[in-house]
Amino acid sequence: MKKGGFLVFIGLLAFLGLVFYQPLFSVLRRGLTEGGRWSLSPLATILTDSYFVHIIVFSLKQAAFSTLLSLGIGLPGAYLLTRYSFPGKSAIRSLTVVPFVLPAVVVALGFILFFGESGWLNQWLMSVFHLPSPPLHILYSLTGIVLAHAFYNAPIVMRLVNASWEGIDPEIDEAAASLGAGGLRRFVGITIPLLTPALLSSAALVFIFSFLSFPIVLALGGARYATIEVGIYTLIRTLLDYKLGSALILVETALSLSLTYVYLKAEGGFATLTQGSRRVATYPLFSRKASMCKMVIAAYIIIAAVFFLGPISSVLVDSLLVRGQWSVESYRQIFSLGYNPFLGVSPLRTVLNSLFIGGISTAISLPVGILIAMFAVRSHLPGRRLLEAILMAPLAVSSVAIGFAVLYGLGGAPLHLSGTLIAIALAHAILTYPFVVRVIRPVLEGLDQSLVEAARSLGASPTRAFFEVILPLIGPGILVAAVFGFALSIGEMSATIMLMRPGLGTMPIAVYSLLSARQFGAASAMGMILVVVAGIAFVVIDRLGKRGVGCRTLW
Amino acid sequence: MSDLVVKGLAKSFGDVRALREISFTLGRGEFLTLLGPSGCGKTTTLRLIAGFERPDAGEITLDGRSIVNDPPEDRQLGFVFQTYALFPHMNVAKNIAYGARLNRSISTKRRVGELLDLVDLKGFERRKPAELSSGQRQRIALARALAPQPRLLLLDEPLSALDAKLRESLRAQIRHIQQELALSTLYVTHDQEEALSLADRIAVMRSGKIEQIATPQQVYEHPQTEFVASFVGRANRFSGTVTATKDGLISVKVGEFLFSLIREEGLSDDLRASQLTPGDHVSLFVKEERLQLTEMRENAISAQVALVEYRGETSIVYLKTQIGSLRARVSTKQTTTLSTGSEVKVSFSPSAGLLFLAP
Ligand SMILES: Nc1ncnc2c1ncn2[C@@H]1O[C@H](COP(=O)(O)OP(=O)(O)OP(=O)(O)O)[C@@H](O)[C@H]1O
Ligand SMILES: [Mg+2]
Repeated sequence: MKKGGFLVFIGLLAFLGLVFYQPLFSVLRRGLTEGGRWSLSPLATILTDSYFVHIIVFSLKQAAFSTLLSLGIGLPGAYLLTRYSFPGKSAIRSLTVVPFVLPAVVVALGFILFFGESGWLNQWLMSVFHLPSPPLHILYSLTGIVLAHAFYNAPIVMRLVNASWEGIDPEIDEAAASLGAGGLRRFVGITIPLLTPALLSSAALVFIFSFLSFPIVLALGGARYATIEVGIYTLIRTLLDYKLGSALILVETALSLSLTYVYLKAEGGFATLTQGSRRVATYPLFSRKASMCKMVIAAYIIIAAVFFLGPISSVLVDSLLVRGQWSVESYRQIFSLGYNPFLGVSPLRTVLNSLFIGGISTAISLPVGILIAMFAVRSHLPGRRLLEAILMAPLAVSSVAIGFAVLYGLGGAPLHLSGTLIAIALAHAILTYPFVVRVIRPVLEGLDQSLVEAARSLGASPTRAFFEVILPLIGPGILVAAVFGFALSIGEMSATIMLMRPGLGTMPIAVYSLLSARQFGAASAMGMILVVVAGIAFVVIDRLGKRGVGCRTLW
Repeated sequence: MSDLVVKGLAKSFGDVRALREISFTLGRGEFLTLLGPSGCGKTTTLRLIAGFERPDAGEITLDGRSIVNDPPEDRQLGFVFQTYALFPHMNVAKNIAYGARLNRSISTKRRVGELLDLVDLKGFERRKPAELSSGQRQRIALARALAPQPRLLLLDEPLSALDAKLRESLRAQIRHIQQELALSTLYVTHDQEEALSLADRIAVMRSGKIEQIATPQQVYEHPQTEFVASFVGRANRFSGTVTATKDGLISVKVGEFLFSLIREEGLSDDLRASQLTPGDHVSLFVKEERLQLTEMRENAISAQVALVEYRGETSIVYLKTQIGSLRARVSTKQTTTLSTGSEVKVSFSPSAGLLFLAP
């Protein structure tokens, strides 16, 4: 690395130290002090109190169930995507990115509208089967949480396992067949072992996401089903108990770091697999011949379609339905400047707040992410792997914890960020820059260094070479990263709610407040704006992301 | 066009000493190839001259002026990369124009036309690099390097990614263009056939040093070191002991056999200057095509045919003898009567043996 680059990198480390590491450390330290002294007693309280033990166990339990269900729904999908050809296949493959940009609170809203006691599914079942009362009691229970997590995570399983499956050289399977192994033996003895790294890493990833999930549990769990994230939120925002809140963050961070370690181990196994020269053969799904197998597949597709499309369509329908009539009244309400009692501000204000925060946070996370990606690709420093892992730490820390760290570490002197939109934007930047790194890094890795040398030998200065050769080649990747970071910020609710003050509400917070107040029309209209933002992000990522910015790189 | 003088170049990457001591000159309009096995430092030499890396020690002068401290963009050298490094976001015309455009004195549009003419790719202006075959890409890379009228052309294994037929035709094209433009050229390859057929002179490299620098014929027929003798062409090697030197002849004992060699032909310059004395341990090299299956008076041994490999005009005959296995390349006509197990006499003329002191 050249001298100038080195200085910039030191500056970056100092910045992250100020806004992330130092605040996080002071939170963790707070969880280890009692009356100004180092002490294990807050930790002991957490680990012995039956309520806290209960929420820790519940967090792990719901994450385990969510993982199993996500695998159960995702694996058949991965199988279909790999082995069959059908119209819309590549569209479905692209759509698996959507959960990443779709705000969790919108999914929660969709679940309430679709699976709730008076939701569309229950109403439909009651009218078809002439039932006197709703047959499904899904929400506000473990089932509701697990289903919503599966909605979110099954596509990830599907995508990761499908990618790995297609990467297996079909000649390996053919070699086994030529040696006399039958279909089942090949599947058990060849395919499954080769897919194991993908299975393990997607399972670990889903487990981490579910373990750290906050808006879904908050909205769908009800009072009885709190996870660690909800526990931290309650301790800090309702009970103002920073000490126990910090101790709980300490426990959570220890657990999530261990889980992340497992994930990274599993992900490492991926590399050796992608050597397939020829693609796996596929069968047309819609052919004349009907069979038992086809029936099962058809049933799966119908159930999956209802499961994934139902909640989202419900949000759309409810946003346009006022007292049983089609109307755009809810949208008019959302774009009004008038004070809304449920939000504490005008709805339009929350839209503007979100846009402002999204802009600032992207303006920070983009350069930070690009610099880290450049460092990861170019540097030959000893210990750079470790440094890289440390720089990606926000991935392994929960959003609620990061929100609190910003509040606790930067809220007071000297920056006095408490109660400002900047604080929220900073928290979002910390949460999103690792994703920027993951998008940009493969783009930089794919950049042939000799292109720059070619430009130089033809007479271009380093600056010219950058603007005429490098930038046009990595530009689309940067745009994808920016859009992705922006969309994540727009949909973020967990860190935001920790830093919330009256007047600072954002769109996801507005959705949550409105649905808590059972203002489903307005909540749905606001939710639809978020869906549209997510949709635009999806289109950009899908169109520009073709080269280099593979879906796998997003997680 | 230009005179390049390289003196005492050294370069290490961490613990790896890529170049130990590289010195040579490249005359005006001369075509010099750097030939050597993988990892010997050919690419590194080229990159130091182009300015992509800085040497740890040594001088590089072009037309009498040191260029060691110039950035690559000021050196006016054309570089053709092994992977071509065409700009993927620009079409063929823009790629070629890139360098010409940065050089004010050149009319870009005309230059692009001229160069596409030169490399026989008229009409490809609008294609993107991804829409070209690898041979076409290679020629565009050459055209792009030539466009700014470089003082020196550097090529790093430009043909290594192509199939044999294409390699041969492009080789001729490169040589033709180089001569037409009288362009001083440094060409890296690890393919000896390429080096022998293209170059005015060859520098044979080994672990960061130049072993011998001479015309292709000299390198092939009078290798100065054991490494060059074994790397260029295919030779049979024997270990032996000198028994006598007199009357311009040297006798060498290999196993039971006594071979005689002509001193003037068989010794490197260094060895000729020093005294070779009876009892010295030596390595004896005989090129595969210098072994003969006709019986001669001198240097004949009996052998058994192990395998005959048909190669068209010539054939390779593998032989078993008392002093080890041999490989001979002979005219296919001579092999019609041979079959596995045939007994033959194999011999070589006294002028065909090359001697090196055993290390
Ligand atoms: N950037 C680098 N960092 C570390 N080592 C390097 C670097 N570039 C070259 N080397 C080492 O220097 C030595 C010479 O490399 P060089 O690329 O010059 O060889 P070469 O003769 O071009 O080989 P090849 O025929 O395989 O291209 C090798 O041992 C190589 O591993
Ligand atoms: Mg090389």
